[in-house]
Amino acid sequence: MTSTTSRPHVRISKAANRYFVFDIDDVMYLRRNHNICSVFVGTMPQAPQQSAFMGLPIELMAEEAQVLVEKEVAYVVDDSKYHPARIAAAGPQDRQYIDVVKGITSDAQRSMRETTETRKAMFAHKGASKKKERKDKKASDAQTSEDVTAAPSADTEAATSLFDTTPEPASATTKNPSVTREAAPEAWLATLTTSDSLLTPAPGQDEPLASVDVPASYPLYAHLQDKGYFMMPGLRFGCNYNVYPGDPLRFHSHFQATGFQWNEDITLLDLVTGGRLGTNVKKSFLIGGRVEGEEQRKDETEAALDVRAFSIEWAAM
Amino acid sequence: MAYDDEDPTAAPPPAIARDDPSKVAIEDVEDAEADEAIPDFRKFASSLPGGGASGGGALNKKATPHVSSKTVRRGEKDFESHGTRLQENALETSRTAMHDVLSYTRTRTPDNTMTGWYFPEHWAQETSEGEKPEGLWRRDRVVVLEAEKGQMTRSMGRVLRGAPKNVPGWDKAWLLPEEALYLVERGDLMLRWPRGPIEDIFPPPEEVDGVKREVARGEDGDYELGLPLSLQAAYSLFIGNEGDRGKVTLEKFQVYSQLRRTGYLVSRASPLFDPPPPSDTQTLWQRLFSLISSPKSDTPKSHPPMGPLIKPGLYRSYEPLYHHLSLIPRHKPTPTPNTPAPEGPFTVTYHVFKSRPGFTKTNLPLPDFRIAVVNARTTDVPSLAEMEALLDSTPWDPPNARSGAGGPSIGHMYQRLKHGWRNVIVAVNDNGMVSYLEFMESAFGEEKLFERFDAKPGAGGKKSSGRNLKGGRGRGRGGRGGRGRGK
Repeated sequence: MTSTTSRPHVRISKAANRYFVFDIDDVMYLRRNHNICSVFVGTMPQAPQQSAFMGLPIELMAEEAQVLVEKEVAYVVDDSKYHPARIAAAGPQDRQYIDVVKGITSDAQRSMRETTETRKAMFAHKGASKKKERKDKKASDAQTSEDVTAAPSADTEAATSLFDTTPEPASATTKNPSVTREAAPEAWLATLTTSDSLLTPAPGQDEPLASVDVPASYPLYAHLQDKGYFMMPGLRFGCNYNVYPGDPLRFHSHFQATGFQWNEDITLLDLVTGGRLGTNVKKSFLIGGRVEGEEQRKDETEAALDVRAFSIEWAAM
Repeated sequence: MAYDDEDPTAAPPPAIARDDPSKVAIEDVEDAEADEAIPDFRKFASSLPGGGASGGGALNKKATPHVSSKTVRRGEKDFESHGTRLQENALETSRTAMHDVLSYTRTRTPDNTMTGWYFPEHWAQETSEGEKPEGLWRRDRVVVLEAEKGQMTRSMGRVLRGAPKNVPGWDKAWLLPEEALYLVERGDLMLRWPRGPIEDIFPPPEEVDGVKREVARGEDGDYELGLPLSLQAAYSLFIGNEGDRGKVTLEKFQVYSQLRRTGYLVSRASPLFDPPPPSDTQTLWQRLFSLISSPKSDTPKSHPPMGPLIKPGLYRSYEPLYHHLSLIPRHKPTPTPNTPAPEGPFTVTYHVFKSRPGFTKTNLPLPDFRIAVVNARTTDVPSLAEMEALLDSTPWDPPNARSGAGGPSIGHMYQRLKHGWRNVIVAVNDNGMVSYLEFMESAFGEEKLFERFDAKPGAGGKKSSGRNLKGGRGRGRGGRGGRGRGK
């Protein structure tokens, strides 16, 4: 686990009131240390014809963005304004950014060349059957150059070290029938996932950070988040949040949570609907809200709101 | 497992050959929905060529060797943490797999990548959105392609034919924001932010012959002309609020990209692509025809305030009886409604086409589906007026099973009712999860079962299961209809 203190803040990119995180390291950091997983919304470049498995970026709920800002692990930047301005303003960052792109493309090119050479050696050595070769060629024509992984992180060094972990030539050859023709003399092209080096340094004091508009159920979210639960948007279960005891990669969710105001009337119908649905999907129906009025704890702070939550289980159905 | 139909495991399978979009089988909308609800990883992995983890050597695999499909989601999920190292390791493997797969950077050789330049202001001064389909939404077209390559441009980007030839980039394809962003996500488009005016990249024609305007390319080569943009930059440039020029809302983009991933071809909706409403003569003819075929008008007559609906008397057929019984006016679809144009979220956003050979973006066929995109978090259930306006904005599309000789058959009745007189799909986008709901204008009053009771059994010439029944009743009416095939 990475230490929380030394790490630079996570950059949340806000565009049209949506909150995105693009850096995979940030995403995994939030997942490991701040029990926030959120929803991947991007098309997978490796498998672009399916929707079951999605890639970067993740879209944070407004609640998640707000919690991270309050914990001082992240900051929100209005990228629809700030990002284009940064691109337009040519500066020394450009140099750095282009170097990163160049590094990645030349790495990709080199790795491709290496694979090709190993392959050639393999074929010369083993004398692979013609049939297989033809098949390979067909496959590689459809997809010339996708067998290269590179780190999304800004520094080239990381990218290179990642390439060191490429498997031994033998297995690579069987798995990667790459381009048989000569590598193109032109430079390769790359689309980075983040504009990191272009956007550093982070907006200073003069640049106001974007605010987050949170829904009314925010106190309940913050409370459960503080207790270490993972939460996903819960609209599919007719609630505000779907609450997991641990990383949803590993665990089923326990609760479907809906936030209420402390003095808000809750209709019986809501309870029945939530309770029955929860029982049906093997979850408990959880309601909660921020305590108001006389019952409120005196030591309530902005960071730790006084929230109480109740779970409702159906005794029989 | 079956109950928990949410799958937050967003980690993809590591090694998948890139599908050639032209070869993608088109799923039904229903299938796509089912897939979306329960993404069963194992099923998914096994449906890919070679299966997940250890496919055959001939497969075109990516070099993500440490990730196998098994590690992304190994085994069933647990109820809660029980503090064992086994569980911790399993989770750690999954996370590492996810990290490895998502660390991918889009790199391509120049010959299978398109390069696009971001010129948001190029068409901004255009006053008209274009009257011809070629020039549609020109104000929103913000990315110009250097050259069109590959299958993807079959349905994306347009060359604005109406544009004057002295405008640089007039002969290039221009992309809409959702198209550009989708191509960037796929890795098919390398987006560039130009450093100079558009003339640097596309020199005006008169200067092409001369060696004029040779932009100095320093050590950075192409990078001098413009900065390669990242995915993050593309999102910040293209995702906007409703009504922003040159941008698209996230929910629309997500619906667009999901449909494209599934294999459909999508274009922005425009009334220009709709067939004109049926002309007046046609409706007049239909009206005349209906007058001849059923002398009794459809509108219920005024009934006496008291007394039985059907007065005692001699009735020779069922039809007048049922006409007397009909008290409540029924909805009758009209081809030329006069409802106002739809406003707000419930407006047709996209036309969707099934992938087919010979599809060209310059000559769009009639769309297979019309889709309105709404945001689940900010939109309420549509009011009747909104729904009516939305439906009436779609072309008149009556069920064609009606126009069979011998009148409508009962077997196709449900088909006709399901088809409706107009139809539209509403895509409800909830944080990236899209539900597709189909709405149609149905008219139950148009399916008159009682007309069949009077039909002559021989007249239709259709063999239906109700035939003997008809014959039987016919006999009761004075032996007009005979049993069997008529005499």
